[in-house]
Amino acid sequence: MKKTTYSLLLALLIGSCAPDLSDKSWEVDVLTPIARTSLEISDIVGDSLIGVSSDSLLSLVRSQKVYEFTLDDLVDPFSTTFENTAKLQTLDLGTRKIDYAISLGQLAAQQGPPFGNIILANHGNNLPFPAISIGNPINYSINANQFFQSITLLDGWLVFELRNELPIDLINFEYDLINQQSQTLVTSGIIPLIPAYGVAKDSTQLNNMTVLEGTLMAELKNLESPGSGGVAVPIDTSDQLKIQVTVKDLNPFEATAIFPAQDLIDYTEEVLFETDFELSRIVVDTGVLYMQAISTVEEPVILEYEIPSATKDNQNLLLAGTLPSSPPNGTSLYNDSKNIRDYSVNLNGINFDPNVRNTFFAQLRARIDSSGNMVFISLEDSIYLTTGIQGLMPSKIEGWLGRDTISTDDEQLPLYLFEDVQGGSFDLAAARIRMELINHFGADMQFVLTDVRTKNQASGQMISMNWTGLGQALNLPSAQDDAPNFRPIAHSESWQLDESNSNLNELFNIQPDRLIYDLDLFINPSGIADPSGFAYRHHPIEAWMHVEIPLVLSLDGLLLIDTSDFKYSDIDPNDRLIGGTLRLFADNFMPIEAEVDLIAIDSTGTPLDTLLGTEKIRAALLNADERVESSLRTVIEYPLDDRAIEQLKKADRMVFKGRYSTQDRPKRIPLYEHYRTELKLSGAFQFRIH
Amino acid sequence: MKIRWILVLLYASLTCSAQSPDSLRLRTEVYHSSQWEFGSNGIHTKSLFSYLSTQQLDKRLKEDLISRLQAENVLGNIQDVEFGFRQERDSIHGRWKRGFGLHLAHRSRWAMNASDRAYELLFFGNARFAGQYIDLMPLDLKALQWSEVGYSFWQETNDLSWSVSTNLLFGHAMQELEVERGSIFTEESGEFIDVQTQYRFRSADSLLLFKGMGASVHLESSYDPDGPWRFRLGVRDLGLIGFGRSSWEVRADSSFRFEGEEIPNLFDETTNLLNSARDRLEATFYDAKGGTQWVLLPARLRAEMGYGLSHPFLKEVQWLGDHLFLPGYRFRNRVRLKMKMSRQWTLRPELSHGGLARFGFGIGAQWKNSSWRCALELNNAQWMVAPASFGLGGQFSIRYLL
Repeated sequence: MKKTTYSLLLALLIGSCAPDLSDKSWEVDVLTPIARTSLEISDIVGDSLIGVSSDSLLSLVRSQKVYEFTLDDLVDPFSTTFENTAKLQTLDLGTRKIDYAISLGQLAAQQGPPFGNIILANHGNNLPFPAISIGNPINYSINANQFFQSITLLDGWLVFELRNELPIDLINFEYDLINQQSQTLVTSGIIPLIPAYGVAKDSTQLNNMTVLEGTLMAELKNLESPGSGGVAVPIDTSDQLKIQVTVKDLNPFEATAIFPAQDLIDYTEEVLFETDFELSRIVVDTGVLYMQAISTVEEPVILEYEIPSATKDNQNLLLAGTLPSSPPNGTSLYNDSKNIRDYSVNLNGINFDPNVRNTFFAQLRARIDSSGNMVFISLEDSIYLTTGIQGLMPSKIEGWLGRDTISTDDEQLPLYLFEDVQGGSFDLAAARIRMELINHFGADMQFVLTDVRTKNQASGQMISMNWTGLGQALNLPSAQDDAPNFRPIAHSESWQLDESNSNLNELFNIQPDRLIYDLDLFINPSGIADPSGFAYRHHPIEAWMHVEIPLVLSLDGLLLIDTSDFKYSDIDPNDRLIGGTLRLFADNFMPIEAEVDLIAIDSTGTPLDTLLGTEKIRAALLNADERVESSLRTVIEYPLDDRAIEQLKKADRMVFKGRYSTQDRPKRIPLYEHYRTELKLSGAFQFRIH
Repeated sequence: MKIRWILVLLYASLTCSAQSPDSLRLRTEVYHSSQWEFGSNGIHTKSLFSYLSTQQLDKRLKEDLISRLQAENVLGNIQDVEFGFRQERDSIHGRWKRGFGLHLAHRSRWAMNASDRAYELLFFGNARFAGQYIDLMPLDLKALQWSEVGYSFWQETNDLSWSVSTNLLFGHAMQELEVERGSIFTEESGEFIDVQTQYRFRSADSLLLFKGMGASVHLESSYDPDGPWRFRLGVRDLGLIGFGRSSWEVRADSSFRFEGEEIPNLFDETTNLLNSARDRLEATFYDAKGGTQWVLLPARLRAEMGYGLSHPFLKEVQWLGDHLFLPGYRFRNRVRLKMKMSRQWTLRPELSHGGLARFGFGIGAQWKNSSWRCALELNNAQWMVAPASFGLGGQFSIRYLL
């Protein structure tokens, strides 16, 4: 009753919705196909390795590049660095003029009574002007702060220009020019005569580190006049003696001034592209143009590094930037670079002279624009510039590639013909090789193949080739340049090797996995300089070996092994498999019997279990023409018990191991295109349904 | 949106009519009723309970279940829980009575009709059918859960009465499988499996409590003339629910041979058998399309006849017939005897056939006084004493007159 009550309550609870199967489990027996595949010869040895002749006979074919000579083998990456330390050669401060004037009225006032009063009283009248003399010095302030605060001059000129608008001559004009702050004398002088309504000048050279301050004081120490000689002259107190002070041709050592725009560096130099060839042009594949600068100049410096020899889309290669103004007593830095891929670099020098080779030129410019700010600049200031090119590799070179010999000795490379064969043996019928040399370079080439060997590394067996072409010069004329399409039109030559002129079968019957050879490559063997030569970086000189082995063979336990990743959760993600039986249906249309093992191995490579391997897949039968007409079925069952499943759960990889043998060995059997084995895998499983 | 406005207007008009001026005396009651029915026509109730209370179904239990199955096997569950109040008014002349009520209900319907072969395939797998053609038909499933807010109105004359309830529905869950064609053939050694199927599957699959909205009506009429006979006819849950964007539909019409997943290259490590097989099977059988799904409610038709007896306590013989539009549900006949045991107690023993189960015996009891009325009914109660019985059900209601 208790149980019944419980059941009723349970049913009531569950009955509030649908019956819930999610908490139940039971076992089911499932019979299901799992996978099917068609196994062909090409699947075993790889699609690319199988060829078909007109009579459907299969051949093992392989094209393998055995030699390559590229532009990188000829040209090293080019790098060059230019270092420029530019001290300021000159500082251009321009010509600065300061004007000043003394009126007659001022002179009269300074003269005092009675003469001064007479002059002032007769303004606008005609009056004989008496001889006068300034008894006391008169100081005038001259302000040049709008141009400079201070200049230390290596050289320069100061010019006094005196324009006398008075009706009387002035004589013995004696003056001092003094830096007002430091009270140092800049210059002094005497002008003997300034004629009425005339002009007089006095020049002083300012050199030897003369210091000129922005605020100057002009002291008029003496000024006299002989008067009008009793002749009445018009008295106008506004008439002036105009003084113009000009500083010009300044060559300052340093200055705190407003500097006008000016060039600081303008430098052109030729650069040698170091190579053994005579090149007229290169096209850049990789490379960087860079510029680094350090400045103590307190003005922004505009930098330009240009290589007019290098162009792209009709634009010169230019790296331009502005070096910031340095802080007082500090430095400013600038770094920039530019990828110069696809720039075409003319190597005919600065004048683009066709007779000049391997030379381009570069220009470095530095200048300042007037900022309008009062800044301190000294000839001690400098700009340190590092410019250059880093890691330039051309994608194409044009010109004479030189004459050279490249020797290769004991060059070893893997042979990808039998790499999956792990054991057993086979006996092949005749093999053929076509050796092809391809020249993509714009230079004549000559190959001399001196020795060729094949080697089976596992067995240590090595066979040397016998071929009539060994030691002979194999000439390969120059390619043509399809410049508009940026590619060469290659020139190739082929040589055929077979049993009639070589011992090829011996070379391959050892199932070689290594090819070893010695060769010499001669570039421009005639030595005639041809300026129209060229080479593209991505179009090398190549040697190819095209192997064709007709599959007429006998196999004796030939072992092929392949490994693939395996995760049990991929096939049973919810861990529902309890046990069962795997069933393999093999409909064999090949005259080859196979023993197939599927070996589960763990992450350490330790074999865990062998799934297959109890029975052979039987070979199809051959008719009188040695062809298979119908398939032969083999059914192989593999129990999956608890232990096997546990082992599978630990597996990390699956190794497929196939051991193949032909019938009636050592008789050779031809293998045809339609040969295959149809494999179907089904399972009778016990699953737990949750 | 239109449906909502129609319901509001209908409610308003009916409410107005309920307040007509000839009403005099009010009679108000609140009530609760619940109904539960769980059954199968093939699997005994006891076996079902064993199955439900067992985590792991062993072979014996599975064989026992299968041995009891018929060509068509229905398994289902019906549940209603309702709370409400009703108000009744007498007419001026005492000849007309009318009333209205409001109720809140939760309803659940789940039923599956499947062939014995389908169950056998589910519980034992296909290995036992190797070399055999299995017809899986019939195979249908309908599951629906919804809540209901309803307004009802009724009117009585001397011998005829009718009632209408209009309901606003909120859908909670929906699954519907309609299989037109379904068969499977497993080659004797498992080299291939042939599947032929044509089906439609719909589901509202989201975590939302309210996944859809709809409307329904309940209609009922009774005729109780002078004399021993009385009659009643009704239909409930006549309506539909539209499930929103989280719902989807799958249709498939396909003949398919599965010979294992084809491996183009045995040595290609990138082949994932499980994933590629699953992708292909999903593309064949499981092309789901999202969008609103309109689902008809499983309506229930109901008819009742009563014949009054002039006996001290045997008061009436009743026949009830009902049909519910759920997969596998068969027309149910029930014969009852109303026995008035005292002023307060009434008993109703009954015999039934059909519905989700087969034959059944039930008993109902009612107790009432001037304010309270309680009723309890147990259907297919024979399972407690007879192992070979099918189905189980019950009803409970309580009413309080204010």
